Amino acid sequence: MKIRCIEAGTVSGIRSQAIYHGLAYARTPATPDTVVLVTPGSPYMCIGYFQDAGQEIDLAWCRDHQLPVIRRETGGGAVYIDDGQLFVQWIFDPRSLPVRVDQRFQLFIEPLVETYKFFGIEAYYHPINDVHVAGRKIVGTGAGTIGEAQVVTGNFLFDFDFDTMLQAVNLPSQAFRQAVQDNLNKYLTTMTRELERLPAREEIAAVYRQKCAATLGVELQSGDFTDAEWQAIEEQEARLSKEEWLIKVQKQRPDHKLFKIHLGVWIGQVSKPYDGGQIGALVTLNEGLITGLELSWEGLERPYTLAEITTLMIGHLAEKEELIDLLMPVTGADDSLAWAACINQVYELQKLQTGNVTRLARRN
Amino acid sequence: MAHEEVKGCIILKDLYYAVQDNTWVKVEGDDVVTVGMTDIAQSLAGPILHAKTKAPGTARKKGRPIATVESGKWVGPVKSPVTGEIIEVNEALAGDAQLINRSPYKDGWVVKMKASNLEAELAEMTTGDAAVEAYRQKIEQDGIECTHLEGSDTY
Repeated sequence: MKIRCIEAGTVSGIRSQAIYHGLAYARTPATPDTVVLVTPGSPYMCIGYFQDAGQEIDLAWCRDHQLPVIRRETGGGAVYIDDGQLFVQWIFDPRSLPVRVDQRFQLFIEPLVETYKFFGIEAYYHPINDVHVAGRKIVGTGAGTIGEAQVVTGNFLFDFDFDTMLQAVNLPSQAFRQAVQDNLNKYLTTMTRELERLPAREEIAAVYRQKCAATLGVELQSGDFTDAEWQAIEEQEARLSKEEWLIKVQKQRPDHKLFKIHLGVWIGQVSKPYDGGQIGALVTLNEGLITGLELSWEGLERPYTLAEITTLMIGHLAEKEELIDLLMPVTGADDSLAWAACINQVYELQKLQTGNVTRLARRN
Repeated sequence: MAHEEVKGCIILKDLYYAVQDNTWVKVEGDDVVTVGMTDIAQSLAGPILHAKTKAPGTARKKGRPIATVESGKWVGPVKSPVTGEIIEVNEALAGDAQLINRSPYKDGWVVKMKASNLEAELAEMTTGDAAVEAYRQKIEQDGIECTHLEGSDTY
């Protein structure tokens, strides 16, 4: 069976989301597996299915700047999307894809990587679902079972508007925002950054189709939406535009904030009551190592400074025992335990969000 | 509890299974059943970050979602293996969705339902040695190998 490839051109932001939702819901047993390439013509913020829009996004800022916010039915976090990307969408029969979620991502990512390489970017698969170039993320992905279809999405990133993304997300402090900005710049990349000459979208689409066919072992045949699919896309566009859909998920506000730069790099902020005062930590972690740290205290007086103990911890693993050992000679037992617990909480939260991937172990 | 292990995947023999959808059913009596995801389902999904169940009182036909889960950027439904009404949900999943990974057949149960067509629908599921054999075939056909988080139930 051939795979249908629809090059949908440039559409509105909301339609770029509605296309894969519509195709998935309109899917019948006779529908071919479909690859869609589309450019979102207008900017928007997009949040994952399980995210609370009010917590993740500065909705007032987005409203004031006419930036729509759309909740999708795939996973992952909040992201800014505009015409700086070519959106790649797979809408497949579940039997056409591996049964394991991680293997599904790996298959989807292979032709993206090969296409980037064709144009001279040394991209590689970074498990579970990222594409990196020298440690910097260049592709964001998402996946889901929508209707009876398996959907996987990703992109070719020409350029990225870091400033708008930073304004649109809800962050708890200026220091946190600065840490996010620094790390986005450090750990995200784009084709504009990697190449002297940007290929045209048509060139990328043509190469991607070849690489996709090679990965899947099936020819990609140009096609178009059916009437029923058009209708489904319009219905999904209306549904995804509704305020009630956007705010469907409402969660209790947590006592911490965690922001993912990519799967290995996280920024987190935690504060805790301690000894009649309050201690806090803004932590940047790279694969569990502390790469950035700002400590704060209120209502405490100690014979050491925050700068002294900050220096001790940078570059170390955020494991509680390791931090206690480092701090104990300077802070004493009780304080070392308190600071270690504060910093380690960010690590534990990050591990939970990454699914304790590092802890995965086979029985036996 | 009588069980078999195939490629690391645990299959409890006293449960009923909707093999295609990777869900299990435990018959509690009086047409009440407990429903959950299988060990195979949790392995295929990977570590689950979020789980949201439909509310008690929701009527579901067989095959319709009773919950939605997210693991590693993938969102998908847990499909109801029976027709009936959700009468209780596992509230613990809202705070710790990885209960499904660590304890798919015990603490990670998803919902309890009052089934309206139980006898006929149980007849369409598999149980006992037949379930083990059905999963053995599926596991081999799809090349599945189960993985478990630290702290998972042992058998």
